[in-house]
Amino acid sequence: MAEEAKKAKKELTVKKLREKGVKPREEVIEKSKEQRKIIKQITGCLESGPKTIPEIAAEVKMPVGIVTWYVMSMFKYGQVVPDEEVDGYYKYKLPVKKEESE
Amino acid sequence: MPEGYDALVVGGGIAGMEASLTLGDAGFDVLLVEKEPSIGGHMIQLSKVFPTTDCAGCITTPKMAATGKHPKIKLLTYSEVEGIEKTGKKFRVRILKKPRYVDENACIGCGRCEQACPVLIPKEWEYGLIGRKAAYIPFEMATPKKALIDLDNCIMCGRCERACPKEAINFLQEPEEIEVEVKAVIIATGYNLFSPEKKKEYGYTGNLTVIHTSANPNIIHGMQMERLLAPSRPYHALVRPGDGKVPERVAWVLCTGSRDKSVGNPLCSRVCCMYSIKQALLYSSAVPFGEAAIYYMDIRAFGKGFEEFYNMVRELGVEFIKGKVAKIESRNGNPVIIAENTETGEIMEEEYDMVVLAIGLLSNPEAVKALGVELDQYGFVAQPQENSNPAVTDKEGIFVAGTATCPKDIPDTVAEASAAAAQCIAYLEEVGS
Amino acid sequence: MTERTKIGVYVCHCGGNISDYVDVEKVVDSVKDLPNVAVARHFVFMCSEAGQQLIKDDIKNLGLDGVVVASCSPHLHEKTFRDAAKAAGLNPYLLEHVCIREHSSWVHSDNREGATRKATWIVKTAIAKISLARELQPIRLDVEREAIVIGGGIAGLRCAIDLARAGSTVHLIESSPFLGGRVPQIYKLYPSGKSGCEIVEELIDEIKRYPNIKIYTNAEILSAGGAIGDFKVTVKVNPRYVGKVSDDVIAKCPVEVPDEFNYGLTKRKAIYKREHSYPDIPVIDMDACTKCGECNPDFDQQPQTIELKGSLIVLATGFKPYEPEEGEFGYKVHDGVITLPVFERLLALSDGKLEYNGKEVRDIAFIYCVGSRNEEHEYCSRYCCVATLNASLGALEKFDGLRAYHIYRDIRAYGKYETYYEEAGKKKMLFIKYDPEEPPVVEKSGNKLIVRVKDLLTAGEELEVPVDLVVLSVGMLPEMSEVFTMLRVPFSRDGFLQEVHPKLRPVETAIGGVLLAGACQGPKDTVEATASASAAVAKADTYLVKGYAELEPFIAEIDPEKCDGCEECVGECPTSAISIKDGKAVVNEALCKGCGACGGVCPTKAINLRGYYYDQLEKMIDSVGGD
Repeated sequence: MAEEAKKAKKELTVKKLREKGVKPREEVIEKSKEQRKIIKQITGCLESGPKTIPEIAAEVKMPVGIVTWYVMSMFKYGQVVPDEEVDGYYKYKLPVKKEESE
Repeated sequence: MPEGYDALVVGGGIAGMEASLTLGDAGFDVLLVEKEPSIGGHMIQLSKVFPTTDCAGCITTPKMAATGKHPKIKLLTYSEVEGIEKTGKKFRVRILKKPRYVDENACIGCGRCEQACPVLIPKEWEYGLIGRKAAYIPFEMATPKKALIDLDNCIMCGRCERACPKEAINFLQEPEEIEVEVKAVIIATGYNLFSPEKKKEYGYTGNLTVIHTSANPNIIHGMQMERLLAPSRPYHALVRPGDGKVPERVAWVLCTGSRDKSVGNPLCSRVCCMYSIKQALLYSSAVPFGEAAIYYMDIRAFGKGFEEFYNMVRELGVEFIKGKVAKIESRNGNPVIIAENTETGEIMEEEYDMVVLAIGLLSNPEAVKALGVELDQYGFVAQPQENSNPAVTDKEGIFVAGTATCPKDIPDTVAEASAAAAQCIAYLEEVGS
Repeated sequence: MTERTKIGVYVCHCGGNISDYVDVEKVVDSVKDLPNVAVARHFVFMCSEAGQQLIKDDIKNLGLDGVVVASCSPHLHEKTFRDAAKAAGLNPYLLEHVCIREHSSWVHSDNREGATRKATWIVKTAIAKISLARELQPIRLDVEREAIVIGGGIAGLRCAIDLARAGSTVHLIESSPFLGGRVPQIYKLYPSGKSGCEIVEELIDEIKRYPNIKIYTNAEILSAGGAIGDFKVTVKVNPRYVGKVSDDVIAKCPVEVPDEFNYGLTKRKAIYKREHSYPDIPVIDMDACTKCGECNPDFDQQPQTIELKGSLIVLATGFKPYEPEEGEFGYKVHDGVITLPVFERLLALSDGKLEYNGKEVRDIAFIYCVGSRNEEHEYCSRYCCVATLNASLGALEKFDGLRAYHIYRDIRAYGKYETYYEEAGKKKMLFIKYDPEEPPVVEKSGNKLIVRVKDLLTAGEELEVPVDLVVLSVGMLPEMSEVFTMLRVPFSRDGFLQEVHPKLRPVETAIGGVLLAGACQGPKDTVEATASASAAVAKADTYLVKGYAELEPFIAEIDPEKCDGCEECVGECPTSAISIKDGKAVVNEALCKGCGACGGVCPTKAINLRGYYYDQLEKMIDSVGGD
């Protein structure tokens, strides 16, 4: 705990960089907000049970190609896991040990 | 006094690693400079390699580890050679080490920064099939396995810095200028891939590393197919990027961006026939009921064991259609190939679940610019004594290996890398110390 | 001996290659509580830097006294892991690498449970084996800077030069009377456009600059053997029967025979030399010589037998062109059907107009894939497409009014060589694609040869092509040599010599210290042949320049307590490595190959194979006996 506290006190280098006048790109901030919304939507949609990517896309009303990209990225970071395959499409579900979403 | 090495190897792909290891094993001090954050090059991204179907990672990963820990090899990743100047018998080399914003010595590669980072960016290493974070480890087997921060896509929230257990993150890092002195140089800068959106008729609208906004993500390129088939694949199974469906009919379009003056590349890329045949084989074992078709102009199975491999895949039922693909359209998300079958003269229209554009290999002149060697009209490093000593360039003491001189497969690349090392050793022994 | 009790077990996923079919967690669970095991883990890529670090950290932090890695074949990465163990301070032979990929996951991909059970057995036996493992030391051999190169073609020349430049003494052995091999017969080489003679002359000029290259031409190999660091080759250098004489003297020879260099297109004398080549001393062809004495011969010259030694041997024995059967595409049946190598000579020798057998040539048909890509020779010969295109372009450039037809299967003008194909199209040469099931037929019709062929490019239309010359683009066959058998070098399925691994060890053979250069390994053009020659030198340099080689310690070990000197083993040893001293058997470490034949016949079980001791083998069997 002492370690943690020490670290919290230490000023982050990212702050120092901001102080030097370096700012993140506006576009990136916007994009990141949108991404978090999409991930939340997909997560929310899976709370009612496993679904295929086209099913998720229909529910969140987004192009299925883009949803595939998000679902697969979420799979890579352990935020969704594949379930059974039905007629050539896998279903995806939330992992058992559900992590706190941000 | 700058640090001194016997040899500088530029490029840490399979050619550069092989050359470095050979030189190191023979007792010479090597500096290996790689522009990406990890060594491994294109080979570590491949699925399995023809004609032996060894998994590429199984061959490359230990080469990377051996290079990384070799007592005679010093590794500089995320660094570029900026200039080179010959003074007497030695070369003075200027190298720019780009900031990772992570202290390489402190980072333990745990990946906590990456988990914490909230931003998703198309992952170049996966050719955009999935996303990565702004704070990230280049890939699972990266050497060195160290994180870096993509400041251009960073929102500067500081989550990564708080998550790091080793206080390795340092946003104040600056680019570093390094000067070294070497006696010889080996160029192993490799190739660039043909970017498939340049062949407009084929309907690929992303670029090499962006797919998710593509008009039809079920039209993919050869490197993306490599990733989909690799044991370290981005997905959990072989499914298509358009909607996660297991593709039941897949076609390969050979010579995409090769042997094609309309896109500015008249040359043959030498590996696409074989990698497509191999991919068709891997696809057939991943989806046993699937149908695979290959559209080709000539099947160039010329290396050792290649023709035998081609015959084996043909006998397994992969369809080979001699015909140049005119156009790829889309129907209900499925790509539709329109081609003339050269052997029957008929115009074909075939619908597939997924189409793989077998993109070719181009020169990478940018990467060799700083080295001042002569290039040929295609931007490849010229080989003035090609027939009798292919490893030498027009500059004494500078040697070349691998796809820097023209597209080629891995066995040829490895042979050339050793050849360059042999020329380098002979030169070093003659120049003396 | 006391058992090792702190063994670390590492099971690799191989990124899915293993873990897709073998339950790696289950394997770990079933061994982690065994009495000799201190830790058991699984990891995605054990061979990666991070995976190796895991092992190294455990060796250091947990004080492991043995390691078992279960992953791919030891052929691939045993050395990788042994090096890692060594780096962490553990004797590398206390690490056992077992294969659960080729032996388990890949062959039992249909049976996950069975594959897991088998993998567990394999790991258990390895734990048993390593629990009784001894610390072994590699056998270190000093390596002198001396190498033997067999074959004086372009690859052999490249090898000799590169070895000599790095400071080694080279013995270059060539069976024919002159260096250069087959390259000087080529009219113009791609891609440089230089003649074959010119390229070889350049190399020979370089060869002459190095006194540490010893050249033996007209040399037969009588015996070859030994091991890395200590090869011996005995050559018989046949006499030339003449010293250095002027061209006028050569001209005096009254005998004329077909010149094999020109495939009989021209004649040579019984005494002859090759302008482009080395040595500058002629040779007398005794089969043709009438012993007239005009050329000041010395018929008393005797063959010389020389014993050469070298730390390594490079085989650069090259290829021979496929010789078509009589009647194959009209070969040897119709006048005017020749092979590509003959055509190369014809181009080089003709001037003004192209003539064959006194008849002017206007139309030429090139038929591809003769002796390649068929049932007998399944492989593609690689060089012939571009060589044929290049020769046809050379012909059109040298002689006016030629017309060429290319009758092919696939034009394999790979890489930059595509430009030759393109150029041929620009020169209005015609391309006809044939079906190997219905190959072209060559017939004679009056003054002309007719090639009948179904063209796949025009939906199988039957064509009749009248020509004056048919050139068969023949493939490459390996040039066989008795030295292959003497050194026991293995062959590939295609009949060429076999490398250990096309990507990991492309110039090494299964016989340590015997390396491959050029087309003896498989069809290659000059660029590829010289690259592979330098590559062989690079491998050689890692021993020669460094000065030593390390060999595996797995050789026979004799327990003098048990040995009663019966000499059974002496007779059984295939390498004569065992002798009897003071009534006990003794093993010569440099000669023993570790085959274990001696152990099999020893009546008192006095012979163990290091790394495979009897107690280890017994415990391995016991370890799975209960399952």
